[in-house]
Amino acid sequence: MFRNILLLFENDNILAEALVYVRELAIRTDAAVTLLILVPMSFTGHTLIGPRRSLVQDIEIRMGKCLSESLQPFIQSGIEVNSALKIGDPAEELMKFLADHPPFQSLVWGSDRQLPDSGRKPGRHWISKVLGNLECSLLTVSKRGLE
Amino acid sequence: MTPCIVIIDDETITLKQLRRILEKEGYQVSTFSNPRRALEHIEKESCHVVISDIRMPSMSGMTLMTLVKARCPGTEVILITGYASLDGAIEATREGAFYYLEKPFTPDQVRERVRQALEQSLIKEHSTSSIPRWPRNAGGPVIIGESVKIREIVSTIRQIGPTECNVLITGDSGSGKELAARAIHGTSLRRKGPFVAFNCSALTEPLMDNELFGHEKGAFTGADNRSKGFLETADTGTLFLDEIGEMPPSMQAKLLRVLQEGELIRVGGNRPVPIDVRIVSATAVNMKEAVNQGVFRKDLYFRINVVNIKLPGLSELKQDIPLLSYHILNRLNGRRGTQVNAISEKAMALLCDYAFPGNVRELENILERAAALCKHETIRVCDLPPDLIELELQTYKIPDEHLLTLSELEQDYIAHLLKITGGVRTRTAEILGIDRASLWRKMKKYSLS
Repeated sequence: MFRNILLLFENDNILAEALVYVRELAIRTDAAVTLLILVPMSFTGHTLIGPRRSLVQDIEIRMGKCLSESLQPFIQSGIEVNSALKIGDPAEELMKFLADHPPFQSLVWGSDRQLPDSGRKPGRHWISKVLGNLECSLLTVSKRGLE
Repeated sequence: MTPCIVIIDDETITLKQLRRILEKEGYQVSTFSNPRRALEHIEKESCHVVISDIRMPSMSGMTLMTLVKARCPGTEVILITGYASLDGAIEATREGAFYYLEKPFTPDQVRERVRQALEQSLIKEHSTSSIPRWPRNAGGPVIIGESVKIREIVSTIRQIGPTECNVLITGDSGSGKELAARAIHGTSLRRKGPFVAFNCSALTEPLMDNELFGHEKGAFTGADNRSKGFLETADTGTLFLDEIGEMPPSMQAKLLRVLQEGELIRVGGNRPVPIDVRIVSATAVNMKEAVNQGVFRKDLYFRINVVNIKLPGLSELKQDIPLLSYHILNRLNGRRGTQVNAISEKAMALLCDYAFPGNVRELENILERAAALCKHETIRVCDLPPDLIELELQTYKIPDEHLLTLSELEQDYIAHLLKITGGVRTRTAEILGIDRASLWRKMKKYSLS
């Protein structure tokens, strides 16, 4: 196994097309897939997690369910698949995650929330902060328009 | 070379009309009213594109097309008819026609279709004849591509091949690093020696030690005989170390000694064994960063990176995709016994449009699947994976900063000054260095109140 694909989600916004594409790509390239959900949450000003513990627990339950459902098509296709959930500053959490794991050869954006396009000012989305530091280019998936 | 076009029609007017249109484009045109004469001509001279009427007294256009394809598979056939029907068009394209042109046609239509057919024919010609540009007698594999980047890589390999320097090949997974390494070996003076490939990320440290350096008899339980490692096996040849960035630090130190001293010590041994091996390494990781982080030894990095070859991903070689695809198809036909020898225009457009994160390996997989599923000689859109047809993949880039035009800047600045002067026009005009009337005109132009 020489290829690892990282499928990134923001919250529980999961784009079905991205799941389909990554599954097919993994089959074609004999790759392992890691699903990573990043949940933006600010802990600024909180020295203890206490007040936010129940909220974090709620998120963990909801996202765990979401991850479990998303993993099924990969497992059924016999693809090696892992999953992770990170809560906090998404840009920081993503960089920490990448540093802790072997290099990924493909990074795919799996949320249905659109990344900023050329019509909007850059920098609004956290991904633009880390784009230059990613180990490979970030791919976005969309449904092809009818001709 | 001037592209050759053969036109066959029983109507002399059509022949003259088509000849006039195409000769103006600079093509070498031959016209025939008798299909059999045309076939004899094609057999002798060969041609790139055939334009033929479907209904002719002595032979139908469909039969002619079958005979042309049997004699010259690379020739594209455009069928023309005055009795167009959907069924006829479907049947013609299914049988291998490049296009089904309906009479009356405009000169532009003819020019465009012939241009497209010529492109397809030339791609096929390249894929079967001119691709093996690599000197085969030198034993090197074929590196496919006509793009500037590929030409540069081929030129570098040819230049460094005969030298003895160690080479580091960098590039994404699936971009053909081992192929490049084999090409270097094939052009080197060591080409008669062995080429041994070893993956540094596939084994644990003790196993890697044993596999690379070999062992002496009795070195460990079960070591009944002396065994040569990959380094010794590659003696007088080339050792290709794939994923060298993953090599553990202790192995890096041992490899450095081999490179410096030209000798190795087998596991469990104490006698140095002289070896003469050229190291070609490859990695997908950023080695400079690995050196800076202390993960990879700096001295070893400089030893293996005498020359660096960076292989581009397939997404950077879009113009080479048709050539590569036909090369892969030819290879598949030979290996799997398939008879697929063409890719439809639409299918090729889809392939060229795709980002190929898996690089050439992914293209191979897609074509192998398509060739297996294909029921005809041509791969069509329906033979490609559904995700390629239905989904669009894009590489995300940070959008360019929105740059303002001069009038947008002027509008913003006037609005800003009006705000800070509390809407006092005299003061605003003073700051701007213009009179009140000019300010009023600008405010009206930009709809500023």
